Amino acid sequence: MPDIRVTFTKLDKLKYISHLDLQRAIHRMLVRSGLPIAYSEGFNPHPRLNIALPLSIYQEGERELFDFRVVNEVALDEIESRLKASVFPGMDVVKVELAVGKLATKHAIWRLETVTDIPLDEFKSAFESAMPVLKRSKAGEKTVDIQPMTELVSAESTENGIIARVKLNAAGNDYLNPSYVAAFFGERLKLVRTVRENIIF
Amino acid sequence: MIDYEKYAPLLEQVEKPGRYVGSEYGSEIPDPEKADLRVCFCFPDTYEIGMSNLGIKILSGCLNNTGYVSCERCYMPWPDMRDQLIKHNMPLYALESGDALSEFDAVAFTLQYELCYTNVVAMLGLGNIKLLSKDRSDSDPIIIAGGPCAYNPEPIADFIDIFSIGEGEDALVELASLLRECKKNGVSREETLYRASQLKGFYVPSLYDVEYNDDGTIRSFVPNRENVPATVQKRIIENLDEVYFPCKCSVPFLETVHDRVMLEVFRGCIRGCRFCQAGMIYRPYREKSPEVLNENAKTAIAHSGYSEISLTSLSISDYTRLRELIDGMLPWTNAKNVNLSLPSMRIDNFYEELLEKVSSVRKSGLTFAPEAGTQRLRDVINKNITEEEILTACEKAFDGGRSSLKLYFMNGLPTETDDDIKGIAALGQSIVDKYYSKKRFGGGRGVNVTVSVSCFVPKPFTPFQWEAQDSIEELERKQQLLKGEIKTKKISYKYHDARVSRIEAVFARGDRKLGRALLEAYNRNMMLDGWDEYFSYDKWISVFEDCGIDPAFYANREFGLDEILPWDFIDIGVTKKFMKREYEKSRQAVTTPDCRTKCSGCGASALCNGKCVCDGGESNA
Repeated sequence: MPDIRVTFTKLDKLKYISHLDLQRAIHRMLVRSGLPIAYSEGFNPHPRLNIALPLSIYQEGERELFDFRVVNEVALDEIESRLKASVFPGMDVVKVELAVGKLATKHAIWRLETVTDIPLDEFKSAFESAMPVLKRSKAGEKTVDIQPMTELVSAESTENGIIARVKLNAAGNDYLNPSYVAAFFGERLKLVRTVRENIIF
Repeated sequence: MIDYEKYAPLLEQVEKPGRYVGSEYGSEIPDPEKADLRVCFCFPDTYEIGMSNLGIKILSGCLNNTGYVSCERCYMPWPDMRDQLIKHNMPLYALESGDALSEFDAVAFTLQYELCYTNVVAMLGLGNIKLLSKDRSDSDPIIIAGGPCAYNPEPIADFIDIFSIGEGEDALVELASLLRECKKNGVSREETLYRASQLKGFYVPSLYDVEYNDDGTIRSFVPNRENVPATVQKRIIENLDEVYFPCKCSVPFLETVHDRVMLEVFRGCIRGCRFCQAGMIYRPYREKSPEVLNENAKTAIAHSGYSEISLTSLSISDYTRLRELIDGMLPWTNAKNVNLSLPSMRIDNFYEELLEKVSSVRKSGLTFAPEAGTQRLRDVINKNITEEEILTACEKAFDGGRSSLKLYFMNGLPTETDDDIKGIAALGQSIVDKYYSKKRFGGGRGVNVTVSVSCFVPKPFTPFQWEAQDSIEELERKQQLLKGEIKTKKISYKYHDARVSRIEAVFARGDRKLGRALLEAYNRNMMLDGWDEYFSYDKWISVFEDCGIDPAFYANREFGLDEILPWDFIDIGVTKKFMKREYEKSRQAVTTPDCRTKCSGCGASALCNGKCVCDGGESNA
């Protein structure tokens, strides 16, 4: 049977859980489901599991993805109902389907809920020119222009800030964490909630 | 349920916010708003350690099954979270509702380790609860404590309203029922505590007066109100097959210390090592049946999704039906890729082929505990294993393809000489030689024997309870002596900080006078003493000095055999007469056989109407 692709949420208190912890929780959920899941080989066998993109701690996701494998043929309905019966708080199974292609992500849509005194127009126009940000990596610090990897989808004012939707690069080496978008605006903008709404292939 | 979002600004500033949010799979509890009694179970150490504790899972499960209790959890916050709570002026809260500890009807602590006492006081303080029992009023929660350290409750008695002595499954539910009654009828705090003292297995410190001799020892320890029992007998569960076992536990997101299903196979120990408190306080020996264990294990794995089961009891290879249990479990655990681990094997009855079977999924480390380096000293402590048995067990392990072993020893044991210390190095060398006595095809790196040496701490309710601990200088001299004796790189040598062991000894054999020191330590922000990075020996010494307490009085003094010990009012079943007999035999290096070979008349069988492992065996009581 081909890989099974699961669309799921990582919401609420799960934002306090790291990617590795989430991965372990999904392992256990797969075991609990009682499905004939495929295991890795080796000294320490664990369920074969491939999560599309990690979410940092404090980030949430509305349509996250993972692939896993079963060793016998099982109807998709059956898989879905078994998984739904095994979920943990903050994780919901949104969709279960047969995987088409690899989990090769290109972009992600993020909802950034912010507290800021930056006027909406100023905020919007910032996305139209270079957006230099100090990026830290193993090689040291360097200033990078994130504007080519960033696209503002929408922005609206709230009582004390702005809710923005941005489309950011999410391909392997080119992954842009939305915290850099917030960092570009510096002290004047505080990110209060970061939600990945969708992953695009 | 309350809005957790108010804690968000704090949680974003700490290293591991997952410790403080609860909401794990399977952590649902009865609705606090509909419960007659709200209890918060506190573990006075970090989340990762607390979530690994089977006792809390059992007891909070018992409470939540009553139908009228809602029992939540709380763990000791790491200093980063503590600082955030203080900075935001927010109280320490329970993980399910987010309510402050002070809002509960009862707050219960489990006392697993003496160096956690400062955490108990810190959690009370952070939870907005008055620290001292005598200062609390009718509107404050009742503070309960139990667990292994509660067998000498005196050092922390000033802070606790009620101690539960012994196994708590039945006792705690009886107490909850009483507290519910008292709450419903508006019974005063004083009267509630008195009524608790009338239940079996509960100790209410405020109902007892202590007087001291001029030399600091106890002159008298007596109840100060009528009908309060002069001795408190510990509670036990007679039939382990019938008692509640938590098959459906919460599954943590964070990696905890014991991140697996824990299956309790039996309680008690048939061995009687003379330094070992667990071996005495958990008597009499009682087993669970393989049928019930196998069912428990299946349910626990299906519920949790864990891929490991650990058989946890004091000396697992003493279980009479171990083969039957393992043969019953392996077919399904292997099929489900579940690993079975047996963490506490004894050298004299360890079966490599059994170990081969259980490690068919994953191969885990092997640890033995000879405890002492020479036969003479092993006889003194009644370890009842011979050098030959140790070497044979190691050889079997090497033959089975293992090339790394861990050995536990103690230094500072009563009657110990430098020859005993040198014997540890010699034994380690013999084991290394055993490995090279045959041609082996290992990983190429050869053998690795880890020798881990802790410091002897005299504990209440052991035949060594009267013994003095070696001074720090002497313990450290012995540690260095052993270091010099180890001539091979195949042995990795590790030893414990003697200063930690000394503070542990002070509180282990402490009395009520130590309450002052705990309060002073709290005022100086001391906590997390079980953690190297926060333990400070110098701070403790200055606390003791300022409180007029001599730590040597508790740690380094040989207690008189006829002295009233701070814990004498507690009856664990095993008699003081037996302890004295064992103490005297130790002085002559005479061993006592295990309970199965011959009953030694320890007295514990009285707790279950004479039924014991020695059943009908010959007694020399």
